[in-house]
Amino acid sequence: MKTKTKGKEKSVVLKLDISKAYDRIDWAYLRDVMSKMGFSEKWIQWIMMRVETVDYSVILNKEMVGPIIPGRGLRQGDPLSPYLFILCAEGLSALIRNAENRGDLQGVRVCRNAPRVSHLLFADDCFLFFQAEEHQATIMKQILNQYEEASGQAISLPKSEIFYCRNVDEPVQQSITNILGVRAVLGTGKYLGLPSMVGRSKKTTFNFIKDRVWKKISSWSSKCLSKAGREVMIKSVLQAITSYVMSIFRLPNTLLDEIEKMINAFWWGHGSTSNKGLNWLSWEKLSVHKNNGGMGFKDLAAFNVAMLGKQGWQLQTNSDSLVSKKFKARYYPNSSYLDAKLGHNPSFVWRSILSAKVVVRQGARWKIGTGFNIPIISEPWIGSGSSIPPIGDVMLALQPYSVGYLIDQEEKVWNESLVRQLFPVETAQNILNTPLYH
Amino acid sequence: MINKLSNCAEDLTQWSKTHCNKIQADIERCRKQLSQSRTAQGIQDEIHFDNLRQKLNHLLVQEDMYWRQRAKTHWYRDGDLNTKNFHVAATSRKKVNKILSLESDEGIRTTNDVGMRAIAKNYFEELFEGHQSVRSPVINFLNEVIVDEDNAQLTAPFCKEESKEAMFSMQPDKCPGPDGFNPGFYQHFWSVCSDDIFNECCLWMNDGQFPPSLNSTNIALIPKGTDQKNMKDWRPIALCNVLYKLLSKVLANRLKKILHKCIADS
Repeated sequence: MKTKTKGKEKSVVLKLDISKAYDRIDWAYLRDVMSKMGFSEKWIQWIMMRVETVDYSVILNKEMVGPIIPGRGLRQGDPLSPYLFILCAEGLSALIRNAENRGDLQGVRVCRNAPRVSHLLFADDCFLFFQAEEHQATIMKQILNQYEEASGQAISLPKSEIFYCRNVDEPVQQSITNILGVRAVLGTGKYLGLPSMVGRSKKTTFNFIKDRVWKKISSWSSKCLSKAGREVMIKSVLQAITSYVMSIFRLPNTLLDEIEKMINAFWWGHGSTSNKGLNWLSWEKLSVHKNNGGMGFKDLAAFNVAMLGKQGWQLQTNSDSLVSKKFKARYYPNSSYLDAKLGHNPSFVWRSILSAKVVVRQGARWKIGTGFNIPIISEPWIGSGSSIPPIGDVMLALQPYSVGYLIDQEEKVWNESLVRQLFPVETAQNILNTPLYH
Repeated sequence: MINKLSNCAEDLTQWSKTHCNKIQADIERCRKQLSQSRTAQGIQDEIHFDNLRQKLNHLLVQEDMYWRQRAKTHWYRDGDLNTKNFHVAATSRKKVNKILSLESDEGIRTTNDVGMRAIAKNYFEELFEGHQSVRSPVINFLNEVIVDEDNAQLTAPFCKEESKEAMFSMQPDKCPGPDGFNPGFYQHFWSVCSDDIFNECCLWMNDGQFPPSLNSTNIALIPKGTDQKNMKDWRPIALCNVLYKLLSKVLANRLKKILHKCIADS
């Protein structure tokens, strides 16, 4: 995701193009993978019986062609296929891991102490990371060949994309490109439907969203929707187009504004090509909840922040995931998401997620256990999410202490006399009402 | 089970030929009668008028359902009745999905049906042709991760709950497989046919044998990108029988639970 890093490590990113991934899976390979992983005979038989007894007929303009008896391939449309495919891709993963353990390949890390990543696989979207050395490129090529031979997959290297860090020398780039047989293109492609590189102009990068909304609005069928139908369309289709991208990136306000304007024009229904006609209400008024007299459309900017906040919350609470580890190592090695700062040379994704921090912080609550991780001052740990009001000299004295000192650690209850002694009546009562979790 | 289904399908086809094709005509007739009886007076006529109106409404809803199913606009599930919209959506879908011409591997364009069928057949036969593979170098690096406990879980006998859950997680309006029944059919008649289905599934799984007709699959072609020249520009989607999918879902749900053991973090 973040390939912008400069520095001493010279790394290469290779984005693979696997064509017809599902259709080419080799059955014998699938069987071998499963039996090696230790699945029982019975299970393998169940799976293989459904995979191998297929016959196809192709529907071509309502006429059947076939039957075609296949010798390989998984079906797109069978609920089981994705899982089987993941099992197969594990073979590639194992090969790379093995080469890594031997020391022949080295993955890329975003900074010191961050975990090394050598490959990201998700179904047939595949990213490989290695160091810019001819030796490693040769190994990588070998691995890919082996995997192709075994699984029947066709990896089209000429169509794959490669991206070099800016510090890799020209001749080295050239020779690696030759070894792999890749056309050296800058990573302009998409990973999981998201742009894998974000350039300087955010607006051009994300313009494809606008185009998609536009296409939906101006399509024929949307023109004969009833008013109620339009509401459903806006809520379930148009706003959904944006939500996936918005869950990772903070979209520029101008872009969101334009999309909102487009949707508004569509709602008031004068042929979306012209700007004529009145929009009887502003988007702000429409996006109020229905109970309060609006239409309940979403304020896209606010929605964006909410989605990012969710990502942030994931970083905060789910610290074992790969992403959390990466971000933690890169941007907040010694603290948590809620205390993180922007840091130097931040990626766009991090900027995005961090921009939602304020919101997450406002909504976040401490659950007090032993209380030793929470400072008394400045953290909103009391009952309904308020912090200690900064009054009096006592507060200054309390600065270095954590909430743990207010708790009777043996009985696991608040130390009532101490609390009453330190704080004004109201605050003390609030503290005593705050539940303790053990 | 299979026989029952195909009998049912035949009967339904017959029935639809005699009953359903005439919705348009029925609606017209109803409208006419309505406008005639509008001028009439008297209690008897009023009742007649109400009856007619109810009948017309009923017919219109039926028509809407028909087009709704053809339009495949799943996002509109909770929307209102809107026959015109569904009609347009269905028509444009038909237009987009129609294959007008195909280019063979040698670059020769064909527009007639026979030629296109031959090209499609060739293409898929080549694509799905089996190859000899060299597997050991890859397989040897895989670790054994599944323990007996997991296997017992995976191959446990079927239970009814599982199959019900799998059945109702399918979209009722999705395309049917070669047997011609969509998930909606099974869901609607679940109370009638669940026992039959369940018993049959258990039987198949125990024998390790699948009736071949169950596993036959239609491939529908969906356009990729903006303009289509040869077979590569059409994405093949397999349409399986619902019963097959049912079993698949059950197995997939079981596999999902232990999948995290098999794969690495990335």
